[in-house]
Amino acid sequence: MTTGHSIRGMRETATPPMVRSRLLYGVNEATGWHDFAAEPHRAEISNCLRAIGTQMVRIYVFDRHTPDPVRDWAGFARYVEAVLAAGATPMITLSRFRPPLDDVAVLRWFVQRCGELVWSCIEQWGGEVVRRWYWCIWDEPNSPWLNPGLDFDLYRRIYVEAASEMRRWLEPYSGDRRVLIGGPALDTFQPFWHDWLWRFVHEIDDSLIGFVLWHRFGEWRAPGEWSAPRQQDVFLDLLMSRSSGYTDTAAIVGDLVRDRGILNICGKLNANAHVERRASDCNQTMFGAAYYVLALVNLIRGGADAELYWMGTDAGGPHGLWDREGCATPTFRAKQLIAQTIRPGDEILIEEGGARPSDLVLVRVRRQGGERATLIVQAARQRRAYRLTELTSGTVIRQLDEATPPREIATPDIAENISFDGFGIAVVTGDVSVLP
Amino acid sequence: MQESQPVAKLAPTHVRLRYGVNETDSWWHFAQSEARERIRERLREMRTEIIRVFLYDKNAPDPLTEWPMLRSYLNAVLAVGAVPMVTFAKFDRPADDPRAVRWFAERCGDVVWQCLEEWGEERVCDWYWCVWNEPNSTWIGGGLEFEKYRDIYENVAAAMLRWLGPALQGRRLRIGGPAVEGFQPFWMDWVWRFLSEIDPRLLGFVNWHLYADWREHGENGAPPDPATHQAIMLWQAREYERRALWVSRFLREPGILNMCGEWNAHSHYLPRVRARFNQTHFGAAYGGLALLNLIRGGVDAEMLWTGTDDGCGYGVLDADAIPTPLFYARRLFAQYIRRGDRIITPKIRAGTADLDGMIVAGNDARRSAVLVHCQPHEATYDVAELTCGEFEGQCMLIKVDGGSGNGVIVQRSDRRIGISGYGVAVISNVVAGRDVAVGRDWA
Repeated sequence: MTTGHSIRGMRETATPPMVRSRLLYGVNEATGWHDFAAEPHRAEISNCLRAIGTQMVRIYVFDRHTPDPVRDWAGFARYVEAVLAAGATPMITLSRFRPPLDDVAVLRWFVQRCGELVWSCIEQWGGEVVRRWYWCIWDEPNSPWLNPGLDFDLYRRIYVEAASEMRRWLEPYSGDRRVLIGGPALDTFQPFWHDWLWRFVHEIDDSLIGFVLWHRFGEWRAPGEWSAPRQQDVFLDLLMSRSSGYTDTAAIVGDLVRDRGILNICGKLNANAHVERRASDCNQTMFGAAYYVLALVNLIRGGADAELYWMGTDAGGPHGLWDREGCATPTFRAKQLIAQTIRPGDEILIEEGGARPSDLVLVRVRRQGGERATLIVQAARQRRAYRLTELTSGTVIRQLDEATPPREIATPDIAENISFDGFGIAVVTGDVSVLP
Repeated sequence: MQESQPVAKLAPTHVRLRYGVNETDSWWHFAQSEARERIRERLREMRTEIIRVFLYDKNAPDPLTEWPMLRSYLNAVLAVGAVPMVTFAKFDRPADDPRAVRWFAERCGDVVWQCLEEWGEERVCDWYWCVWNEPNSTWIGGGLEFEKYRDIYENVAAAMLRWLGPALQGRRLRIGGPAVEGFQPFWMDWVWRFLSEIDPRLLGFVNWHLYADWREHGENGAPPDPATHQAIMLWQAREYERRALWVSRFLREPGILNMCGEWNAHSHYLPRVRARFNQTHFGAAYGGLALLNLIRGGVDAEMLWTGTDDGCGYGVLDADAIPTPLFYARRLFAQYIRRGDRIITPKIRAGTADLDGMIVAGNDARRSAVLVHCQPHEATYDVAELTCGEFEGQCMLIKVDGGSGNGVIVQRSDRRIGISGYGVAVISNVVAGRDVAVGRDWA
């Protein structure tokens, strides 16, 4: 019997092609909506959103802690205005209605509310503006935690009726374009989320679906909970290894929607979804920054059309890119680097090195104008140095790691090496080689 | 960058897959029944290279008190011409009791020693040894924590090395695990930690399991409409490739094998329900897709759950060696896609999900297109269009589908081929293995 050794060469692969980025950058503005929408720090937060190239902001109605468009139209309007002021497009999530979910009268009432919201928005901002907005029906309907008892058949009924009603108001302004209504905002921790995706795409008329939305976090547990590793280092290493999973999920969705003209949007992402800081504070450290950068490049590789980070403003929680005053986390600064380096239309190629696959990741970027850049991500906690070769005059390095504040170095000051104190990200202009 | 490698689909250029089966609950029929010779002949027809057997579970013979029975079980594997993967499935003492772990490790070591005594070093060094079965599943393997499993694994490996070490002469010990259950949401934690936290010298292979579903139509949120449910299951067969590639990213040394140690379409708790999925032409199509994707993922070995089956709803052979459609589908794969074959076209697709396939070439000038038909209705395809002109001239069509009865049809391939419902078809410039005789009969 031949051993694995004797056919080692068969793992050889052809060099993969570069992938063209379609990814629009975005964030969720949810529990921190008041700080995001109101003074005194609205301007700072708006600047933050612009700095990270935000093109889409997901906001919520018909949910806890968000303004009710019926009773508090002024609050809702401020919420939307804050999105527009940042130069972004809103994705309005019509989160849910109260049970009984299968009561036709309740459903009819919800559908009417959705239609009226669209109509009111058109009245306030005009059809030419509102037709570009995204409308998401429901949030994580497949999660028994959030929506116990909601099965796909029931969700489909809600979706079709709400989407049809909303389309009635949007269609006069849409022209030939499909209305940007979508769902189901799937929780991909659920084991059979594929069923929902497949049925959503196959059992609802394409004309009613503008996008498919799905959520992916790396983890929801704290160390030691529910069989998660108890040791913090192991827990985080394992979490980092999952950053490559964004490619697979984006590709699974893309496989179904690509030929149907439906957008593929990752509607929530972050490293750890746990609500307590003891488990999720990694989101706002250089660890979280490296995780997010790897998630972004993997979303690009998987062909996703947009991503919406969970979340932008987060007063005291562990998920935000900034706090209520717009004070930024390392994850914000990492996204800023990425948004400036990789834009829609640019091409990327991901390479891996290091002892473990995601310890050191290089992303070669070829911009539409022909310029090149190399993104270096060290996703390991050790201090490590690498030698850079093929530097050219005018090379600039922008670096972010656990020891250094963001800094920019231009030749001839650059030594031919770069070192990271733990998790770190660097963007080097040009196509450079990185040697251990 | 010298060390880095582009990340992409690590599409292999050659077939690495060894074909295998599990022989477990119905092991007695495989080892001792009157039909055993016919069963073994059928397993040889599927070019079975590995047979996974169980100890300490599945009513398997006890090595201490029923050694002659166990001997017959393992001799049956060898009679097929295959290598056993002996799975030490579990123990029923507290897993966090160090004495229980030591006791279990000693028992496993004793089995190895007895096997060396019975079959000799040269043979036994080639065998595979799997530590535990689905430790991450509370239902099956007791729901161990990884730390406990690692302790058990390292103790068993040490006990085995004591006996096998001197005989290995530098070769890697073919021990592995964790035979992880793929429905559990954090199954990948186990693979990652198994490959990261255990000394790679103690790792011969990593074993993972995958079924498409365990729910009946409409059960627990499953689609109530059978056609929808089946279509989703078939669509999900690409998960085999994704998981294989994911596992392969974390293999630290090239000698550690990537194995799918259990798979089938359905694992419902009632045999009559799962049989409807596994032992029909739908099961053959699902199995064909699983194999295509395992090959694309560069997997080193697969072991279908199961070979022989006396009313369990899984097997490709019943107690009298009567085959199911999946048996014929697997035989087509084994005869026309062999380990070492060059993959010419990794993916043939027609329609969105109607048909999937692959073209391979062997060293013996054999060239085959293996096609899996994923629709319940009859369809006709243009051969030149499907294969981009790779099969011009005289070729044969060999297929198992709704129109082939309980067997395969061998006929000359026309410019167009028809497939009746779910099934697997091969277009080849040669007729191989058992199909030579079948073709003669049809002629």
